[in-house]
Amino acid sequence: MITARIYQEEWSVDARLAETFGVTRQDLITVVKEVVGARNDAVENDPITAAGLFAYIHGTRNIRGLLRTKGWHLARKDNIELVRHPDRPLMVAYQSVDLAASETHLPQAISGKGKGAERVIDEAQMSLFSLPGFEPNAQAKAPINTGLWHFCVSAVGDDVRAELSLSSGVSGGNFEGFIERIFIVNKGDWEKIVVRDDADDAVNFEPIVVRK
Amino acid sequence: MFNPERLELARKRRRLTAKSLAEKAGVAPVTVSRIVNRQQTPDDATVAALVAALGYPRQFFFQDDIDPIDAGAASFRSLTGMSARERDAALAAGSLAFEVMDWVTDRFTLPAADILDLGHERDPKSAARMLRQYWSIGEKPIGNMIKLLESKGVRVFSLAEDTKNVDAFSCWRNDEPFVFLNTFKSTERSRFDAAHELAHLVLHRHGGPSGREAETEANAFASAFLMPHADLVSTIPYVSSLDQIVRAKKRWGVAAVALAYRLNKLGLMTEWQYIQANRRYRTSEPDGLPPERSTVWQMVLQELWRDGLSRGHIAEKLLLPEEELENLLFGLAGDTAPPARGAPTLTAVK
Repeated sequence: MITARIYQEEWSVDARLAETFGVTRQDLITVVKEVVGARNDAVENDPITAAGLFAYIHGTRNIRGLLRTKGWHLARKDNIELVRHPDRPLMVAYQSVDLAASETHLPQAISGKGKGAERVIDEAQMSLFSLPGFEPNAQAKAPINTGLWHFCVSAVGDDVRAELSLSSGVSGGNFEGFIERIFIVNKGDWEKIVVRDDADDAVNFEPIVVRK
Repeated sequence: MFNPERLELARKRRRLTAKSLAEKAGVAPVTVSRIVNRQQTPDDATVAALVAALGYPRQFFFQDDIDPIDAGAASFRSLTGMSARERDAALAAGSLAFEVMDWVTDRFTLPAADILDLGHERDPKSAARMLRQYWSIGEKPIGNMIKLLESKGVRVFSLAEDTKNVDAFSCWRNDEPFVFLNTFKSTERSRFDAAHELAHLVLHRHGGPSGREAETEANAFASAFLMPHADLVSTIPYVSSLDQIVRAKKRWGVAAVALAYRLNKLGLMTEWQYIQANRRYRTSEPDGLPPERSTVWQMVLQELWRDGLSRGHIAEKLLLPEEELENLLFGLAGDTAPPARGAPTLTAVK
């Protein structure tokens, strides 16, 4: 199993995201909020898969929505819903996982990864071999600007976490390992995120008083 | 000429009955009654006694009629527990505020009223949303309610009534909206009162429901206006703990119980959590916000200070006891210090 290079500190996460994806951690947190909000839309009368389905739909919609504003293109391959960088072989897909942003656990897709996903990931990650100095089965020495990345979100009760990660491939119906992982929402972050106790975006008015 | 209407106004402000005023002034009750009914013009000694009893400048009683506020036209925030005497004192303060505002508008141009008439809209939550859209606020939280009202042409005064029974009230005078807020209350409650009064200005200017129904509508409007639905649900997808409420309330500047009520109504907070929140926060506001100030009053007072006019001087010019002016501005202007050298000044209109 490949030991992933992990970005965890806020400053390094923002720098890393800007370098390859042109987004901020805050942008991706907005996507997580949409995902969690969508999950909460599911009510008892819905099918049992509703929460997961809503999360998938809104996760895909919002990650695409975010990156397409940066010039990325909508893409779809072997039934995998993607968003593609306009110039580089770089793609992102939304993925609901069992547990994200844990150093001791590799995120596993809730619904598993089928043959189609395996093919798409293998094909996309092939582009990595052309990178100078890239060694398979070794931790990435330098940031990687290509490949198929997954925006992984996990929601277990109040424990919501997220990471944007580059999988090394699929084995046994799920992710076999990761080359690089960028932690977006760490353990314990969510409670601070869901409640914005500031009102920085509040609207303020200033009446104009003029002397006669 | 002695003006009995002004005598009545001063009596109401002092919360005196005609009988108790007569006793305090040392004149016969029938004399006071005859003066009020314009059956008798008081002699100098009686005027002096009444002036001393009421603590108003003598000249105050020799001015033109003062605009009264019709008790039916004013919308009071609180209906229960308020005595007629408290209501009359508050309304009399409103009449004094009209005098103050006339004096100010002779010298300053203030924002013109820009308030929608949504009396036809029977869903207060929709009305709140329409007004937010009209003012381009969208789903954003409102930083300062007093400044928002002032910038939309509402004249805001303090209702420094030392009683919890009078929360706030609002009225129209010609086309000028007025809101009176009890500034003794917590900032969160005062913001809600301001939004509640805004509801009356928007929804009930030309009638519509009255009494309890109107108050319920105004509460629903205030709740939706301060805590817009989409922002609320996207900020708090679910409530995991009561501490979350205390942190979150700052975003919308509302009381913890007001937020809990709205979340419960929206189904984002369980009944049990709501009961716990009520039990914990109903009587004391956790982590309170600093008071909101009025830009209009701060600027007006600073500008007059440049002319060497203190609040005492202004009260003198208005023929009011200084404490009455203080009451009307209490908590709104803060400690308006003389402007610093080089501070921005107002522009004169040529």
